Amino acid sequence: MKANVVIVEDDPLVAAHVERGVAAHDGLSLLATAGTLAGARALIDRNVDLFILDLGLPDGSGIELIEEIRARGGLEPKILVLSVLGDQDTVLAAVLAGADGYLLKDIDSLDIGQQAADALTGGAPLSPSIAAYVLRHLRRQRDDAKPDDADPPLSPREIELLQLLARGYSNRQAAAELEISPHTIGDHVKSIYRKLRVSNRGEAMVRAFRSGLLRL
Amino acid sequence: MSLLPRLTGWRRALAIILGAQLLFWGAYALIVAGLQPAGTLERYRLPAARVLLASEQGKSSAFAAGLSGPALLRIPGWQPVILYPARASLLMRDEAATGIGWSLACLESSCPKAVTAYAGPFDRMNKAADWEKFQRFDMVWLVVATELMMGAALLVLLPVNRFSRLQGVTGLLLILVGIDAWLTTFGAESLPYVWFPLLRYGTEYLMLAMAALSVNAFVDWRPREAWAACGCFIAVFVILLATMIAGANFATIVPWLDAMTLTLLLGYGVVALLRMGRTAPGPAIRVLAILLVALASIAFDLFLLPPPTGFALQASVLAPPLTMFGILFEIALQGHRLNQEAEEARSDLERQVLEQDASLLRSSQLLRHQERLIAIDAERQRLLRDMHDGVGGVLTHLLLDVRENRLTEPEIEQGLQFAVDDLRNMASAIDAGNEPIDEALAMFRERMAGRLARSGIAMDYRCMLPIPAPSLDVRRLLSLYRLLQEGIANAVRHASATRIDLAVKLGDDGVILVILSDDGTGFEPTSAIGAAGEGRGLANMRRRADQMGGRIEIESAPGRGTQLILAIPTVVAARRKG
Repeated sequence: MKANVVIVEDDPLVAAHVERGVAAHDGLSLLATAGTLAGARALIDRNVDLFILDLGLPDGSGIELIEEIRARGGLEPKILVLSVLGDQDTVLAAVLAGADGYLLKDIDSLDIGQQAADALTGGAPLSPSIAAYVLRHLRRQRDDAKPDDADPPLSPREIELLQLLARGYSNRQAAAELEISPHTIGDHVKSIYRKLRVSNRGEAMVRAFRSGLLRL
Repeated sequence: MSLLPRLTGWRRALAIILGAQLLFWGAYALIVAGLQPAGTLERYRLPAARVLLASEQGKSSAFAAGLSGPALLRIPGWQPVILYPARASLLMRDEAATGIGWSLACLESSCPKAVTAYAGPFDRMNKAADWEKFQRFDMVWLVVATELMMGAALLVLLPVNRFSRLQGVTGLLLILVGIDAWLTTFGAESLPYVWFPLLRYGTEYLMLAMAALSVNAFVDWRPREAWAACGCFIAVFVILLATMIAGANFATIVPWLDAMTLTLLLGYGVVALLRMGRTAPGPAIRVLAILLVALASIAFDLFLLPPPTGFALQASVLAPPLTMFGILFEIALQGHRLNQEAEEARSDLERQVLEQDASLLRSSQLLRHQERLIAIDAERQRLLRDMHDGVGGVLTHLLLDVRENRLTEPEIEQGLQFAVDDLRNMASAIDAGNEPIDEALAMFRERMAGRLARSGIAMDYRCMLPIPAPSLDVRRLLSLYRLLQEGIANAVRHASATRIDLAVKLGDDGVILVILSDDGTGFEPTSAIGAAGEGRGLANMRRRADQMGGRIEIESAPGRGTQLILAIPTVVAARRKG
C-alpha cells in the first residue's frame, strides 16, 4: 500500500524535481501536483497521506493551507514544507501552523523520497534544526513573558528532549540519554507539537509570518 | 455646601451677616431658655421683702448679689447672719432682735454700690446664689479653661498649617485672654502682692497688643504695623512701671490708658478692615459679620434687655466666644486653603515630573532608534561584505568560467552547490548567532550530513559542552561555518575521506575547541603551505580563524588523515538561559 502524496509548488522545475523524488521511492505514489493554493484546496478532501508544499504560492501562503488541513481533523496527513534556506522564521511558522518538517529544495531527489518516507513512518519527527528553532522560540517567549500568559508550558522532560535533539542526538541516542524507550520519544514530540500549536504566541507568530509573506 | 445656591457679591455678604446674626441669637435664645429661672427675685428684695419674710412658713434664707467678700446682714426679728459671695445663708428667727432698720455691712471693705440683698424661701435664694456663682465664677473658669485650651491647641497645631502667622498670633492671644480673665476675676485674691497690678494690667495691654497683631496677621501682615503695636505696648508698660515705682494709684491712670489703647485698637481694626475689604472681601465680610453681632449684642444689652434683676444673661457675654469661633473658623479655612494650594502645587509638580519623564522617554527612544539605525546600517554593511566574501565571489568566478567554457558540468554544479551552501550558512548564522553553539553546529551537521552520505561519507557530530552552551555572534559563527565548510570540502575533494567527525568541547581558559577530523589521505602540513590548491584552502581557513579571534592547528601526516583543531575564545552566554 503506497502512501498518497500531493505536491503543492508553483515553480515547475522544483515541482518536477520533487515529483522525481516521490516517484523514485517505492513507498510513495504521487496523487496530484498543484501550482496554486486554490488548486491545492480542491485536493484537501482526497485521501492524502502526505503534503509536500511550498509556502510562497501565487495566490496566498502555504501556511493557510497547513492551517486548513489541520482544521479538518480526522485522518491527519503529514505535511512537509519546501524551503530554500531552511531558515528559522519560515520553518518555525510552518511547524507552529501544523507542519511536520521541511525539505530543502536543492537536496537530491533520492533524499527527497527518503525524507518523505521517514516523515510518514515517524522515523525522524524532530530534526535538530526544528528542535533548535523551537527552543529559541521558547526562550524568546520566556524572555518577554507576560504574567497573564496562559500558554501551556512544556514539561522539564520535554525541554530536555528538545535540547538533546537540538544537539544532534538521534531519537535512539536521546532515549538512551533520558533512559526512556524510543517509542516514548515519539509521544513526547507529539506532546511538544500539540502544546506549541495551541499556544497563543505560536498563533501570533504564524499570523505575523503569514501577513509578512502575503505582503511580498 | 452644594445644597445652597452659590451666592455672589452683596447677596453673599448679606447672607453671611444674616447667618451670623441668626446663629448668635439662636444660641442666645437657647441658652436663655435653658438657664433662665422662672420669675424674678424682685419681690424678695430687701428691705421690701421683710413683710413677705415674716409670713414665710418654711426655711428662710438670705442672699446678696454682687458681693466681693463676706458681709453682715441684720434684719429685725432675725438673727444677724454672715453672707458670702454667691452663697445663700440660712436665716434664724430671733424675736429678741428688734430694731427698725435693716443693714448690710461688708466686713473687709466697703460694699460695692451694686450690691442688693434678698431674703426669702431657701430654695429660691439658693438657686439665685447658684446662678450668680455660675455667672461670676464658674463661667470665668470655663472661659479661662476654654481659651487656654484653644490657644494651646492652635499653637500645637501650628505645623499642620505650615506655621501660619495668624494661627500663632491668635493662639497667643487666646492664651493671654484666658490669663487676663483669670487675673481680673481671681488674681487679686490669689496673688496678694504689691506688684500684682503691674502683672494684671501688663497682661491686659499685652493682650490688646496681641489683638492688634492678630488683626495685622488677619489682613495681610505688615511688619511696620506689628512694630507699632509692640512699641505701643512697651510705651504703656513703661508708663505702668513708672506709676508703680512712683507709688501713684493705678486707678487714676488705668481708665485713661484703657480708653486710649481701646480707641487705638478699634481705629486700627476699622482701618485694617477697610484695607482688607479691597484686597480680600471674603474674610472682611466675615469679620464684619462678627463685629455686627458684637454691636448688636451690646445694643441689645443697652436698650432692650430689662434692667438687671439677677437673672439676666447679657448678650454681650456671648459675643467674645462667638468672635473666637469666628477666628477659629477663619484659621480652619486658611488651613484648608493652604492644603488645597499644597495639593495643587503637588499635582502640578507631579504633572511636570510626568512631562519630563515623557520627554526623557521620547529622547531616549529617539536615541535608541538612532542607535538601532546605526546598528542596522552596520549590520547591512557586514552582510554585504559577507556576501562579497562568500557567495558573491563564488558566483562571479563561476560566471566568468562558464562564459569562457572552462568548466565541466560537475564543476558548475559543485560551484553552485557551494554558493547555495554559503547562502544557507549566512541564513543560519543570522538565525543562530548568539544562540548556543551546540545547536548551531548540530544544524550545520544536519545540512551537510545528507549530501555527504549520498557521496558515501559518514559524518558524525559529538558535543561535549555543558548545557547551556556558550554562543558566538553572527560574524564569528559565519566564519566558523565557512571554515568548517572549507575543511569538509578539502576532506571530500582532496583527501578522499570516508568518514568525517565533528566534535566540540571546552578547552582551557574557557575556549571552545572545535575539532574536525577525517580519515582521508592526509598531507604534509609544512610542504602544503604556499602550494596551490590545498595551500589556498589552508590559508583561507587560517584567515577565517583570525577573523574569529581564534587559533587553528592543523595536524596531518600522509596516510593518517587530517585533524583541524580550532580554539575560539568565547564569552559564556549563560545569561539567556537564566
